[in-house]
Amino acid sequence: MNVESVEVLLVEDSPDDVELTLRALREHNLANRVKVVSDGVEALDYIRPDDPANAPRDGYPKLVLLDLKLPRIGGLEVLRRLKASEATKTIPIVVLTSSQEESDLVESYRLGANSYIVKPVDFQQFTQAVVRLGLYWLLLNKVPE
Amino acid sequence: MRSTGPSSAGDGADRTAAASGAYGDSTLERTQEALLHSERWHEAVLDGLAEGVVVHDTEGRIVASNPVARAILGLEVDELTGKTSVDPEWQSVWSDGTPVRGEDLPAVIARTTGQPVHDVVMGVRHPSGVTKWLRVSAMPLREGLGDEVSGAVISFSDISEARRAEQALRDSQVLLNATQELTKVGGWAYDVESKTVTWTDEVYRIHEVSPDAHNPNSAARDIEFYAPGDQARIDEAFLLAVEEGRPYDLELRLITANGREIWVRTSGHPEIEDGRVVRLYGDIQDITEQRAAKEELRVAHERVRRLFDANIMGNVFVRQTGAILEANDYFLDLIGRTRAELERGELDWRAATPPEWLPTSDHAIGEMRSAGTSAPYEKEYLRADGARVPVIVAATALPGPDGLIAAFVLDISERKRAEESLRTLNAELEERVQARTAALEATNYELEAFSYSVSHDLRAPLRSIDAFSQILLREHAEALDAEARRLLGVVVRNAQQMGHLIDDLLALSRVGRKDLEWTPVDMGVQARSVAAECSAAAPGRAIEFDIGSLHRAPGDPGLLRLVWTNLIDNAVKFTRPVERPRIEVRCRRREGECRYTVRDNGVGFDPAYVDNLFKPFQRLHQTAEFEGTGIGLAIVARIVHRHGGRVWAESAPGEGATFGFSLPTKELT
Repeated sequence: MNVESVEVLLVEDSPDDVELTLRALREHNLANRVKVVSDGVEALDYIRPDDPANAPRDGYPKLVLLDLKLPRIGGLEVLRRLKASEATKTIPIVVLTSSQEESDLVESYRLGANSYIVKPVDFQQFTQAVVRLGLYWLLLNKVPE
Repeated sequence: MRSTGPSSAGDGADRTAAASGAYGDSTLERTQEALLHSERWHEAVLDGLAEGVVVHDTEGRIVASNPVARAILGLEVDELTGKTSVDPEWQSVWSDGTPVRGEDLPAVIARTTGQPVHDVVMGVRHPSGVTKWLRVSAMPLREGLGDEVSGAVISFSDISEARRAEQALRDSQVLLNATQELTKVGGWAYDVESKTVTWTDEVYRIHEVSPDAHNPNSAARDIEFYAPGDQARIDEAFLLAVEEGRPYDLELRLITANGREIWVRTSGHPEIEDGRVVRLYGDIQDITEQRAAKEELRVAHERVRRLFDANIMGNVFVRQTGAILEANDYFLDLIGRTRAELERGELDWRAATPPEWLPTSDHAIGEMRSAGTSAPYEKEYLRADGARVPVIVAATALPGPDGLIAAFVLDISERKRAEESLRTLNAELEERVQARTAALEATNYELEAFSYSVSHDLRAPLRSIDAFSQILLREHAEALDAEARRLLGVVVRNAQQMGHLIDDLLALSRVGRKDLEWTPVDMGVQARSVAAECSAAAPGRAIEFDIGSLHRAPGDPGLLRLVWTNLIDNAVKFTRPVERPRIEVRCRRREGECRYTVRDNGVGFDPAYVDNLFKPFQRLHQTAEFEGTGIGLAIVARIVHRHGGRVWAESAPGEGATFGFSLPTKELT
């Protein structure tokens, strides 16, 4: 494992949610290296799924936590582009959203999302959810090198 | 026509006999001379007679004959002399054709019985085959003054001609009678001078009077047979005919002797001699049947005419080939033509039919050929001004070789216009429905967008409020006093309650928008599975579930499961204060629907507020007592309504509650 590499890419426009997510991950020492971007354009600029030559210097993240409702380019489009690229399609992507819409859920899985988590309003439930998915995707899940 | 009366020849024969007896006691010479003299005298007498006479001797041989006898019999003197009456070559027959036996011959009877025979008609068949009809008389001839019969004098006349004439007259009378009976024409004659009336048999039949009961001398009485209202007319006509020689021909009512009223046609023709009317003759005919037939025909004609002229619809008589022979005003108006054009024979229905409609007409003609009439059909006529008129036509082929068709034509322009406006109206309605649907869809889309942003945008700040309040409580507890901590707890609780509200609202909105996936749903399996889940979610509570046999129902399985979840969850919740909670689920089939009920022995509710139960956010209990947002039953109601069913609830405070819903079973096979 390359310690220098970014472990989690958090795509989230709400600073409050960013803070709460980071709190939850750090509290359990799950992500020391988290890259945060606040919209879809920034997310694609960072990973560059269509341009592997210019991939992030320190490698692709081990997990992407993706909000759906983002300024400029939305979460579903980011998901589609990442999963459409040979270089980035194996990166686990967890949709972490406030949307309970059936259509968002269906569309996310159709585009290849690995999980779909509705952010609970309750802080304790939220913390629990983030911790569990971090544990699973970062420590338990194996992906091809 | 009879020439009757005793034959003068008979008298002549008598006298001859008397004369021949007168010379019996003379001297020979005188006798001979006298004989010679008397013979000549006899001959002269015989020769002068108009009838045939032959004299038989005692043996029946002919001893004398006169020229008339010879001419009738076609024999010469020497052929006749010595001949007997009974001659095998000659045959005698009676009028009816039967042969006369020898002993029945008048000559033989007179000779053998001594009695005269008068006027016997018989036929004598000559050996040549000619039959002469004779009227024969025979007188016995006595010798001297004694009774001894010494011969017979037979006189006869040829009545063949008279017989033929009589027969012809009889024949023609029979024929006349038969003809009159057949034609019901009777003949009559009136003699002006004697004032006598003669009727033929048919006149008697017409009057139903027997010839015996009719007085030929009362023409006035005859007129009384006519109906009282008609007597004056016949009286006057009769008088004018007699006095001025004016003929008449009338149709009058007549009352027969039997009281039957009949119609007769009677005519009178005067016969004028020397400028005076001497006779009237005429005929009378029973025309009751003809008049009835004529009347019937007239009535039938009148009816057809009325139908035609009523102009309720177009009536036409046409030829298959096109010519319009007759048409009423309705039809002429319909095709915008005049009666003058019709009368000039210028109208043609084929010419007045747009070409694309001709096959329809010809099809109907084909139908008429096979079935006699055509089923009513629609077509169009071309008016003189080029406009088209929609019509409905029914036609029937008339019997006969002319290929005539009677057709009924109804203008249906009004109906077509009504149909058209109805169609327009429908189209407009459709358009409006579509516009309304589009507007609804737009509203729905907006609603969806709204719930999406509610879902996303409202929940995020709530989460922040909740999360940061909790972080504050946990990480900075020492900096806060007890009151501050309590207040922060209120904030957290309310944020969480609002989160539930938003979640439930979104659930309700999803239920309304979701497309139903119809399939038969095993309600028993669903109810039991939901009950198990609810039991598991309430550990430490011993809830008794009694779930009966539940009918399957058509519906959306996901939504129906939500119904069960809400109802059973409610029952679990409101039985919390009860010592031995019991929840009963039942089903009954009624009038094309299944009725499901969930009954509990919980706290129940005040039925006064039952109407509010199924509306969103309506709660009958304090949140502090029983948690909840008041959305659950609204979701139940919305799902059931979308399935075409009903919801209801029954309760009294402290007596438990029963919640029910029905689902139509029609679509379940």
